[in-house]
Amino acid sequence: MSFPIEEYVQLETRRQFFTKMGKGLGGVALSSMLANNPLKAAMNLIEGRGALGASHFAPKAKRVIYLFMSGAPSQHDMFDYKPYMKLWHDKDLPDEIRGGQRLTGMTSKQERFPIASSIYDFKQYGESGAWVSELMPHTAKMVDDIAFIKSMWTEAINHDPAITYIQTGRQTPGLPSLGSWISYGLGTENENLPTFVVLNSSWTGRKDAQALFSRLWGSGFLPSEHQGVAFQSQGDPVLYLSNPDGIGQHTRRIMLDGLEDMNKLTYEQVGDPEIHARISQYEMAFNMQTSVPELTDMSQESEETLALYGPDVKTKGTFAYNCLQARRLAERGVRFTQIFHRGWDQHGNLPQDLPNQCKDIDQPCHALITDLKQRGLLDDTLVVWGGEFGRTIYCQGPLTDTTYGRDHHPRCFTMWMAGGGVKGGITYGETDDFGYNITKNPVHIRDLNATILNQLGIQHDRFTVKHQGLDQRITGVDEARIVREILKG
Amino acid sequence: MNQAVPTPPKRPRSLPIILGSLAALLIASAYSWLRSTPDESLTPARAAPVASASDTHATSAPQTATAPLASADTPHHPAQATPAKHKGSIRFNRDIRPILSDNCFHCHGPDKYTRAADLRLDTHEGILSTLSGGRRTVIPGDPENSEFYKRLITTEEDMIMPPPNSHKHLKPEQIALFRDWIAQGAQWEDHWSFNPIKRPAVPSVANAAKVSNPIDAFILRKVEESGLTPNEEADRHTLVRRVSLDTRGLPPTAEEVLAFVDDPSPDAYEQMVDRFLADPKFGEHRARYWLDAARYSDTHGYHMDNYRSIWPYRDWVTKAYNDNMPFDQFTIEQIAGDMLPQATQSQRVATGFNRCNPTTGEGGAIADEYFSIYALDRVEATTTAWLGLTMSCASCHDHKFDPLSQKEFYQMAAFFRNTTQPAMDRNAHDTPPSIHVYTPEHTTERAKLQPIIKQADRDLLPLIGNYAAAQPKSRAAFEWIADEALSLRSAAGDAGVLIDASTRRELGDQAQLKIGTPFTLSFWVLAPQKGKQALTLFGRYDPRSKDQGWQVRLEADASIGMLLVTDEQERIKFTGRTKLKPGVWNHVLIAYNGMSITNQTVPNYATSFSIRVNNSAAQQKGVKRENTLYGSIATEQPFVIGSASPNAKNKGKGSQVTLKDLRIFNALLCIPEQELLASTMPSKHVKLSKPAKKAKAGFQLDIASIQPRLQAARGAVNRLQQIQNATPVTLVMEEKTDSEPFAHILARGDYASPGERVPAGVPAVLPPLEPGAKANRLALAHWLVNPDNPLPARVTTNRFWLELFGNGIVSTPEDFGSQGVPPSHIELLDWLAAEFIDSDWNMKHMYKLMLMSSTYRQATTISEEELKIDPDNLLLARGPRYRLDAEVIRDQALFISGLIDDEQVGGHPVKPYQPQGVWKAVAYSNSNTKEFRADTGNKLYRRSLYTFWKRTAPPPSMAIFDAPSRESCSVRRERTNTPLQALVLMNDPQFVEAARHLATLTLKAEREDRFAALYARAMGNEPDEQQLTILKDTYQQVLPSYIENPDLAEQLLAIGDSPADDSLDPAVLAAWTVVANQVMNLDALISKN
Repeated sequence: MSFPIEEYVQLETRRQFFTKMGKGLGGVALSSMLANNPLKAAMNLIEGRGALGASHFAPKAKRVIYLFMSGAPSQHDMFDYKPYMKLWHDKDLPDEIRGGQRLTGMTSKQERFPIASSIYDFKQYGESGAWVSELMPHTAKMVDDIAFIKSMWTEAINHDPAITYIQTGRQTPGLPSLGSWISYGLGTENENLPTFVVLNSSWTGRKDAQALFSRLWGSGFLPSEHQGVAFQSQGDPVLYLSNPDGIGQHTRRIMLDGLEDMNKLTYEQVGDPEIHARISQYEMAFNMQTSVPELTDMSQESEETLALYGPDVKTKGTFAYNCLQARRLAERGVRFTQIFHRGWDQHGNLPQDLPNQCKDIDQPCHALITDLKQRGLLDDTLVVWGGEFGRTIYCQGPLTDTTYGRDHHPRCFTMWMAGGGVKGGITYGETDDFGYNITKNPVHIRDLNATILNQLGIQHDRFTVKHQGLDQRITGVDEARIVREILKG
Repeated sequence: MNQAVPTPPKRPRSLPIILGSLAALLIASAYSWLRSTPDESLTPARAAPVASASDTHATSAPQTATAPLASADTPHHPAQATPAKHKGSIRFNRDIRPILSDNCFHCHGPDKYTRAADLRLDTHEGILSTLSGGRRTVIPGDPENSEFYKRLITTEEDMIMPPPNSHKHLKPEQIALFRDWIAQGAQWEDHWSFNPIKRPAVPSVANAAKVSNPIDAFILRKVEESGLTPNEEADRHTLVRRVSLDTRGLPPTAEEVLAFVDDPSPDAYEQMVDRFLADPKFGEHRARYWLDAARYSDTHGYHMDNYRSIWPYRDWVTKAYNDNMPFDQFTIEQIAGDMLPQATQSQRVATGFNRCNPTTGEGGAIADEYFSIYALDRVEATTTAWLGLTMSCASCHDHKFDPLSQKEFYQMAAFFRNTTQPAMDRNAHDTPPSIHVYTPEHTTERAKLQPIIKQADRDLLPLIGNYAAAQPKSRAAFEWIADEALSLRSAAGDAGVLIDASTRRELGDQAQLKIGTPFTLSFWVLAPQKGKQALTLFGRYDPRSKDQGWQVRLEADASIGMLLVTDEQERIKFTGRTKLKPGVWNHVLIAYNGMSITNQTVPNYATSFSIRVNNSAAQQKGVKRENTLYGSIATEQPFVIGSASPNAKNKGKGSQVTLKDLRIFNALLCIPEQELLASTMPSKHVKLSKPAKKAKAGFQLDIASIQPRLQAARGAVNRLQQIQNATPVTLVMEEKTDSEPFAHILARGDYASPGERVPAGVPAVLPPLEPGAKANRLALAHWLVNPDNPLPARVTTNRFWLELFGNGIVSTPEDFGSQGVPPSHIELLDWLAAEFIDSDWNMKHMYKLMLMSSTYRQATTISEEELKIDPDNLLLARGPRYRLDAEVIRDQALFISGLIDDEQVGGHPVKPYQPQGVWKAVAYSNSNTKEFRADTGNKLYRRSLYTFWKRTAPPPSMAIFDAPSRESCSVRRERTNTPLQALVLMNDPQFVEAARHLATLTLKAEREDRFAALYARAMGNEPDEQQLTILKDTYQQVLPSYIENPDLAEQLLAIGDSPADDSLDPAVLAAWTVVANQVMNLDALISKN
């Protein structure tokens, strides 16, 4: 792999470096010139931008907040209303609907595939009249701000490959995640915070939650500084951020000043410009020790704001807490924030677990959109909501009047987007009466990723990096389509 | 190479875009310059391309602006050919092929399915082909009439190549190169890396005094051509540290420094190199690089990411390097050690290389899909590590750039598909095929024990028939007879005891189980048809008091579990994966082998316990605590049948089960005994051995009368069990014996779309398998080290070079194909490859050659001129200087602080400090690697090679320093420089504790000049005056705060598992700890100098 732009920039920076030598360290303090670490150099030279330098076209969104529901939320019980299924309840899914689609190892041996119609009431909301179930009363209030896509689909049928696929463009590990691509391409707007932040949330539904993997925010073959920084809900939000007990900021400053002097002496001896880069990284680390605690200190948030997010907002690591955190990150220019919320894998006992899952996220989602809107941030912040695939209309396990479960269903599922140049109050794509097949406007997960990049001003098929001899891109080798129908003109 | 190049329409071009568009050009010229061979004379124009590129920057920019990049948004402007800067002759491989590969091969390359116009530009025939209408692709000597060239310069948008929608765009210079190449006769060369290795002549150089061995001649030749002057040899302090870090991954001790620095002998350097190469720490350091390629990890990698036991393979790699195993043997054993005649245990362990891939146990996963994923991964790892080919690109279609067809990919995959391994790893640590890795002593002992057990089998089994007839009644021999008062004994007609949530039958002081004493529990359960409520069956435990005790439970999912709680509040709970059959009698047997501390290779797995259901072993799951057993479970609670607590009110609710024939032994019964117990009632669900089947079921059994004859067997069984528990398991490869390797070509790589069935085979562009050999893994292994195979020796020596010089001769060690970066010194690479083969694949010989070269020994000082001409040190006119790898940085800190525990080579993975919550934040809720608990004591200070590697959440302090996740084969690490790295070195308890120990050592050392002593201990070199002043200043500035605030000092000194030395003044020690922390953050310390 090579990063030609940075390689050039690097050479260029070195050249400038020597012309600026007389002016002291300040002018070049931020220049990193290590061969395999080109981005910092690029960032400095082009003032806080990434490898792309400039967008392919004018961006609609400057940043993304991606609300990821890991485990695959049931579209049938939340958004994709299928009234006709009441008549089909406990009747077998017709073969022609299933169409020989492969099943997971969990239901492939089931003797029958009885349809489980949702037990939740759906109503239409807003001017747009979008259907939302009673599980999502807060989301129902903002349907005119969001665009539903009911025709999402993927090939992967199990969690690990599917979540890896939607996050990295391939089902097996090794490729960069969407956030790291964006970090690489667009760079940072705030040098004292990471460009790509990951927030993992606690959950209250199904306890046996699917795993996450650090590859989901990994940088693959991109320089590792683009991997997402997962904020911790216990201890330091950023790993190793705090000085050890017994070393205060004053002592740290003394230590760093001496360190810088020592490193400068080394530079004078060997002339390796990388040493200057190292000095600047220590300064950034020192700055982060202030900027991150400031970021996570919610004491200045008004009671009104806190109330908007609901009572969980005061508990570290909840989805509500993380949504407020995401707004604060957006305010500070963090490019890509991804909140993971687990526990959406309702194979059985859906009526017991799903309401809790929805309760975790419903009010905070609404609060986030409202909060961003009130602060004028929604226009250039793209918010994306969804999971790695959908769930089956047929029941997994016992079907009774009060309980049912749903297996994995990659052939269609629902996501929504808001802000960042996306139209509000529309529903895109349709599924059949069984919510089993897409009947109109299919959107593959790579189309979604292409659309996200598009809103950031990036043409997905021109945003490539050579790895293993190929021009790799987040959307993979297949054609991807931008879902222009949901975008503002 | 024009990726990521933006082109905003109708907007003034900003600086970065200009830079971007220039980048490829500059790089191309830089490489072509470096790729020039010694037989060519360098022209001045090419001697300093970087400088000239920089100089021409200002004038190039406007020119570039008028020739925008191809894009879908902007109309394509045809580029006009401009005069080529190449004065000398153009070489196809150096100058032409990279541009063709990048821009043309995608549609006119090896992939027949996407080939356009049936035209190939990756073969000589294709270049010279005649197109429809008689037009000729390339007419040597006549560019103007060559269709190829005409299509590059046409102004017609639908004619121009590359087509605008490809987003590929040739620069004027590149077009000019093509024209000149054709004009000069369109000479063709096969791709360099597929050509046979021929040892080139060693070039002569002007500065012969600088030549220690042939390596230097090749390097110097180019350095001299570039006009640079090679650096002098580094000073001895620097050299000894450099060699020590590169051979052992650790700095030298003070004694080792002196032994070299003060050695007056002329071969002092060589002796030092030899000493380090012979150190067992050499193998530990080399293993680390190889384990990146092998994607070694201590967890499965997908889904639940449970623990996997394969560390004996890691230790095999270390030993192979230390034994200087020839690389051909190193290869053959790893690829096919199991298939060697009379394969040894060690050779089977070696096959772990291809068991290191990520595997899944995900519930819904489809076996065929994962079989194809595993084969793909193995092809990728094997071809990357040995061949430097991106073979996996051909899994969906023919390779776009290299002559590797999709069919050939599946022929390679076939080698790896004929294994006995299941698709699902069952989330077990020992997914078959796996072996126990016995010590030689244990192997001998087992050989003695096994006949004893066999003898017992022979003695016992005939008795079964007798028992069926005799139906003896004595019960006296049962150590604890819980059934006495309950008629639980198995008379066939007995109903047993009905248990529901309200049952509580106290039986007094029976069955006082003990940790450290083996026991066996045997009983029959009539499992409920319906109901999902967990029930306690029997035990001595009161869940309300939470005092010590034990109980056996039927879980809600119809599995059997046991809970033990010690007086140390150690809770062990394990459950069998096998569910009881509903509505029928099931036999359950739980056996404990009396081990007090159990096998630490299997965290969260109660290895001392086994559960058998219906005479079949049940896998365990859901063990709640790591399996260390200590303390006592002896309790004053009575032995109780049933689940109710005293005064329970929940009568008659939930499940009902019936229990009978409960027998409790204070011995670990041997298998025949267990089988007898499982046959005390008739059940079609109990599968018995043949002799047992003959017996009539339903008899009453008195083991007492045969017990004396079983004592020896019980002893042997116990001992065997103990050995087994103390013995690590490792995953191995195993070939199916009833089938030949084959694979189906999968359309677009989709497992569900199998096409043609193909046998195992190797790519046609490389030499064939040995004639007559069966096409299997063993043949593949031999083929990989066939000296006629041009790639493995090149790829491997290039990796050795990368390890010592920080950059490969081929800087894309993973790709020796046409899209890889061509070698900076092709003849040197071939010379090294030839030397490697001729030395009988002697790895230490190759490392030594490189270490002995003057090139390696140079000082790292960079002049301004060098920085301009060769910023990345591709020419090697100076020594290698770069940041150390994650593991070396940590090991060095442990080493200089004296904390390191580096005596033992190999062993169980260990868990040094890690911030709380890193695992839990991502882990599957039932994963046995969900909770991270740091080790204590010496395990905190072992070399990083032994750090437990959880693949879905690698050790964060290592990931921050660019360690790969080990999810796939990796032969090169990034080397970034980020603020997070600074935070690790400043604040990670591992480094803070190490700083305290470095400070302690300094204060306790005999040297008076402590600041110098501290620095010298860390750096292996004395500080100069300025450095000393800075260290002293730091100390003096921070000391007052620790004197004024003793609490601060105490807090700082309390960090880490090891206690602070209380003979030292805390304030002084704290201030020195800050100074040590400062030194341990020095760029000079974390870099190789």
